[in-house]
Amino acid sequence: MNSFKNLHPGFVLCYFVFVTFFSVFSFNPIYLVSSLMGALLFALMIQGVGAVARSIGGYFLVFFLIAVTNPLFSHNGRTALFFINDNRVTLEAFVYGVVLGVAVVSVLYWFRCFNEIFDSERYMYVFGRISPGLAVAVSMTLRFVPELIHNFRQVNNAQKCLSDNRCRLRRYISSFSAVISQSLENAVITSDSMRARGYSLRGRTSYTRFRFSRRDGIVLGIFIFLAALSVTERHSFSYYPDFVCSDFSLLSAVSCVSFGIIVLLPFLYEVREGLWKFSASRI
Amino acid sequence: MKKLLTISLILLMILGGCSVKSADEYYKETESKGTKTVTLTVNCDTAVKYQKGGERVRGDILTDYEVSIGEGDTVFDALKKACKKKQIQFEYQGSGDSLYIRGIDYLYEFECGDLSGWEYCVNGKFPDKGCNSVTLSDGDVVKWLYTCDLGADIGNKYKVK
Repeated sequence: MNSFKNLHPGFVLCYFVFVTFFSVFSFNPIYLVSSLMGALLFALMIQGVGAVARSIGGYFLVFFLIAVTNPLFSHNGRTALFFINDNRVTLEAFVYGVVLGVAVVSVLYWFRCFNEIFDSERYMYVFGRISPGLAVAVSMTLRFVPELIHNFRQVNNAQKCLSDNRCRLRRYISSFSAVISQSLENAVITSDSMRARGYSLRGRTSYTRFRFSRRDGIVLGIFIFLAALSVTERHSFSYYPDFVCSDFSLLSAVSCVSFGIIVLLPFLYEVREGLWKFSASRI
Repeated sequence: MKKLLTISLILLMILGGCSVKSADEYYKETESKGTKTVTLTVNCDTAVKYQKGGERVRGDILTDYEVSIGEGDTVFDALKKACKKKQIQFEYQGSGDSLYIRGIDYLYEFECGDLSGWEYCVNGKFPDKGCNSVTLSDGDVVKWLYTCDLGADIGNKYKVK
């Protein structure tokens, strides 16, 4: 269930950059809700119902915190719900907080999908030609925390098995220091071994599996067309001091719809591939 | 259980320092009559000029409004009382000497460029102090003026000391 991954990494990167930027800067409930739905659908597709269902609690907490704290810090807005120490807490600020929360959660989900799809090989492919040093640094940084957690569990379990009677905190501290020195050493070894193999030398070629095929060209063409449509006339929405929604015109409606299609692009692509495989299996 | 207790205790302590009132309650509250009277003006003609063709057509939010204040009341207290009486929105942040007015009547700092915001003068002079550290005396004339140019357009040009 992950054919979107097989598209060209350059296109995949463009897609995610566009979708996240649009979601963050639009502040329009129509775009945001469709972005969240698209991201959720995408996550469900590539990670399965179980993983997404387990993650929802944490994301909801983030959403809740943003929605509740915004009205406590921003007192702009025409409709006062109640007053705390002469500062009004308003409906507008609360709604703005909810919108902000949806934006943050949808971007988090997009990044979740991005991390799943964009592995270190793709990073190297996209950034390696611009700056090889940066590519190694980025891929090592992204790998650092998961690796650290993994190693920490291993070391901690080993310590436990050594009939260790120290209190938990002391054991954590000693395991942690061991893991830190291990990972520092790893970083040095990695860069040394990359240098030993002649990485970043001039004129050196490397093998990649990625080629820009006709299929990528078609999807990229559709994406650029829809993206151009969705930025021509953006439908705007403002919150302070009153809710103001700009009038719908034909163009702004087209923009909303085309953004909706962009957001569903991974899903639609999956469906198309599925149909193709189904028809191929009947031959 | 222990964690829950500490969290709820902290929340209680935070909430204990706040007075929560509904909007009706807040605006219908009658303030005790003070011993002094000051005249308050809140004006944002500069912002109206700046946002030409914007939604705001009148700059006079309050003109020569008489507020009765108590002993030791500051410029901020006078503004607060007037805004409460006339149901005008305003927002402040901080407390004590560092209290700062961010916006009055939905007009906030930085809405008319990077050098815009609310400034105040007492009897024609702009004190270089926070509005909660200047106490008023009977008959004072307080003006809250919106500037779009760090004070230069309302007669308080910024000087480097």
